[in-house]
Amino acid sequence: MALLEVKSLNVCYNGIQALWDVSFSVEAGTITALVGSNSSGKSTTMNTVAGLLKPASGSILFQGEAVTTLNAYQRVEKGICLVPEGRRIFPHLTVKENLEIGSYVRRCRKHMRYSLEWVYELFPRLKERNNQAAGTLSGGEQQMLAIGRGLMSEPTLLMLDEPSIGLAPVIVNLLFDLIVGINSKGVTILMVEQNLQKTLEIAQKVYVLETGKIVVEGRGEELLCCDDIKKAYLGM
Amino acid sequence: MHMQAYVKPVAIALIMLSLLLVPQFATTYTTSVILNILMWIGLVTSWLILAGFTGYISLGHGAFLGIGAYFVASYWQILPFPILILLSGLICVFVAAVVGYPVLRVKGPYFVILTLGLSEFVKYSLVYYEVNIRGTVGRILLRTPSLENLYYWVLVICLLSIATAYLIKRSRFGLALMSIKDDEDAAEALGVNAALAKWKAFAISAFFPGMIGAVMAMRWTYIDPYTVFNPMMSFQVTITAFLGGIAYVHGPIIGATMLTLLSQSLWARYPNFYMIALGVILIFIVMFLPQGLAGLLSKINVPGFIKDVFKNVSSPERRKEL
Repeated sequence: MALLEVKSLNVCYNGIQALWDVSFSVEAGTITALVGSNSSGKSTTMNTVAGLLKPASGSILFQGEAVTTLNAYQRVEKGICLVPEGRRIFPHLTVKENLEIGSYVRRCRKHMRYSLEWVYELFPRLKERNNQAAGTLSGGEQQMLAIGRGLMSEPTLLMLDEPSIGLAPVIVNLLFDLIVGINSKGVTILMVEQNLQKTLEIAQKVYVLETGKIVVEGRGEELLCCDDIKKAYLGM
Repeated sequence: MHMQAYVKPVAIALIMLSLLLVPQFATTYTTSVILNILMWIGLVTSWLILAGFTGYISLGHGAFLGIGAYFVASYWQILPFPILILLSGLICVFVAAVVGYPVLRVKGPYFVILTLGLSEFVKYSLVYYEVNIRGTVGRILLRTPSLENLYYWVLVICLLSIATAYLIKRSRFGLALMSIKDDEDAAEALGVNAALAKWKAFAISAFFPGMIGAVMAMRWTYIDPYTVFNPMMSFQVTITAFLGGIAYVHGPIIGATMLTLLSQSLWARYPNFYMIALGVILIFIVMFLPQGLAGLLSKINVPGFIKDVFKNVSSPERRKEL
């Protein structure tokens, strides 16, 4: 049984149908990626799985349990956490406060101290900036904070929406190493990315979205080798 | 080092002591001015429990004051005063809980307008009730408690509201509220039940104006819907909060003191000028003092011991310490 199973999801966004019968699954322990051009429905898919958008029809199963009707905060309690596009850190709160909000749900409160240590170990930079207002961090640091904040909820499934957007190439490499590192600790990852080369290298499973439909699925290396698919859908 | 550690508690203790002694030693006039200041501090501090932490600006805070005042007027001399005060607060909590559930789903300017509309709705419903059903215009309250008695009640409520705001600020709940202010959707995505948190904050913030209204009705001795539900009360709460600085727990103390003293010195002689001054102050804050007077105070060089007193309650410094 897959960790996350999405079955024929139809989602309308601002009165326009953004997703058409989208089905996919994420196996436990893997890195799964959704790729595709702009406005192909990647972020909509992520937000729907996180519970920020409600589907018109279809179902979302997490660990075999239907979560379709749950609110976003209830899904965090179940172990699904989204690191939203554009980081969305809380600029007026300190770095530490941002992280504390990450472990707000009841399940995580007790282990907050350990989670904090773990996140600081992963991102020593954040520990240095502990008491600084998060809005004063650099773009790369803010992305680290957003991911760290997500990890504070001890997610079973961590969803990353465009984590590398707007970051310097050196930082992007660091970020992908970190994602692999987090995954190796047992956190399943579902990500949306623009950086296809790197994403296809690290993802075990890749779904290609086009205008709200899944058109191709395969293993990362497969897609990386197949020139036709790369040309047709990924513009590589 | 050790000396400095004592400055804060000693200063606070001295202020407390002098506040306690006011009715014994000060003139009736001074006592009533300080009572007014305390009333505004309580109103503004409780308003900030929703507005300051979550950024949801309510223009309905004055309505709770009116509800408290009307409740106490209806049951005066039937129930004992302390119970009336407590019940007034609880009724406002209940009203806020019922009204807040749907209203807090509305965001931004719509929320502001909705709260104003709701408080006007309550006012005109009461006017209708008074005129058409009871056949009266207002209520006259007889055998009200002494000024001294009322002073202590307002002092207690005011301190309670400050303590509540301070405890919330330092709690996990306060952190959730502040995250809502920065980015409500992101907070929700991280597991914060934003609707519930705002609802709780709104209900808590309604408790204090309800009690203050109950006490102040005794001070006013005559109440009618137009006076106690005057939207100007809600506006002044907002203006005072911004004047003091909404990010600071001690903002209301500075704002309320300044504005009450200003109104005392102007109101009697130049009532129209007072309203103009209020308008000018509002424009001035928005343009030049977005952090309010408390924000200004934290930037300029004030003598160390004054800073120490305020450090205890001011927000950014406090957070850096933790």
